[in-house]
Amino acid sequence: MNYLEVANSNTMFFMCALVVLFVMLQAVLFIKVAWKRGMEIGIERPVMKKAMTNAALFSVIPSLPIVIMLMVLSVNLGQYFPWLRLSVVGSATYENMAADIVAKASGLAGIADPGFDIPIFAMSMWVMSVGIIWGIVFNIFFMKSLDKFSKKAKESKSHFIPVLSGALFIGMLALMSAPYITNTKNTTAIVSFISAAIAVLLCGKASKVSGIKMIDEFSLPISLIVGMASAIVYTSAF
Amino acid sequence: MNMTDTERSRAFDDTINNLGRITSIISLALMLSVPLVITLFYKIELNMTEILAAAGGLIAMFAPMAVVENISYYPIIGAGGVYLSCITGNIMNMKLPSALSGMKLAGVEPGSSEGDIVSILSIAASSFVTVSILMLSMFIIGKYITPYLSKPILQPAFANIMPALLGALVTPFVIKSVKVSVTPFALSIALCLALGGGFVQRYQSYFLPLIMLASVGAAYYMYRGRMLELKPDMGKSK
Repeated sequence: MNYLEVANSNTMFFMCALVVLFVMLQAVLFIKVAWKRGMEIGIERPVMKKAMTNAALFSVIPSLPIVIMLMVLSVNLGQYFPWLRLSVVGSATYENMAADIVAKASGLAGIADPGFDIPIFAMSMWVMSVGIIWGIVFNIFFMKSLDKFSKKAKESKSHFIPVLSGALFIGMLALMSAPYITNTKNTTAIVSFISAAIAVLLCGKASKVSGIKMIDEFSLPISLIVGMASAIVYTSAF
Repeated sequence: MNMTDTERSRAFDDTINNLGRITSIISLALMLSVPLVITLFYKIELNMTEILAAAGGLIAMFAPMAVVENISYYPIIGAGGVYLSCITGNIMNMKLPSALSGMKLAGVEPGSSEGDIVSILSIAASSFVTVSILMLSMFIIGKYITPYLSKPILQPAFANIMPALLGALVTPFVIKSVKVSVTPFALSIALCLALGGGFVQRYQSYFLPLIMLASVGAAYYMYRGRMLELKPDMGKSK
């Protein structure tokens, strides 16, 4: 039996679908609980709706490269398992790397090697699954204590708390941005960064001047598209 | 049911932590059941030593990263946001931006009670969209849209999602709090110039706490020296 028969079997589909459905259920449960609490502390209904629509709309674009990756991975791993991996915790780069490590550990050239058989496929599934679960394991054991501890600290009502979270995420964004801003060899990335930055500021301005709030509400997806489009224009022009 | 605000807030935290823990345990069990069921169902004989050897490298790399990342994300997206993000992945390129732009839209601060609610709603909406797009792609549209998405002309756009996203995210926050931004940006840029952007990116998870701590340290220094202008409503804790 070819390993692809296992990979594309109904059993495989059923098992993967079970996980994906549960993950969707989890999202629904969290929305229910958060929505109720949001009403309780006085966040207005339209504000919550707006945040969700914005997130949903924005997420379409970064999902597209994952679709390509799904198609690429399914050539060698069948259609269901990559679907599961990319829907749950996985990222495009991780899955490829993990599958490749297994193939190489089994003495093959890579996942496209004709020697890829059922035991190696099963082993890939195990390794890909076990390698990436640690964030979830951490949450199960430690998140509650971390949350309790930090909520206690917040009860001090210090004026520094909002400054603290601001400083934390600006720190994170700074570290993520720096490699792109400083890489003069990849000017396309710099062009995308700057165009998106200008676009987001223009969206804010345009929304204020015109009074159309929609422009500001969708400034993230708009600026993301502007940044990506500039990369295309810049590469074809230079 | 006459609960004080603090009691309600604690009750909500408990609900989120319990829901997060239970759904994480179930997701984890389901995820691992996929390779388990396939292995048993097809009576595949596996070489455990080989699995451990191959997974060992990945675990050594990803487990410490997961711990550092979750602790870093927590003050920004809250416990609920971290539980959800860890299950569906794509945190840096989707979940975090969705939550941040949701909070900006709603006019709430990261780390506040309102911020945590908006985070959960945005992240859940984002998860839902990605999972749905992947499901649709696998069943129907994948075959049709992949040829278009793989067109060479679009490649610079997909290659530059991260810089475009960062440009759009970072700019409004930096303009809003220039003083807090100086330290993390100066440090991150210096790191990239000294060690190379590629190196910094590869070990990003390890530099992250460093930069975040430095950023908070500098902000605290300025806060104590009354160099920051605080909005009157900042620091109110609900």
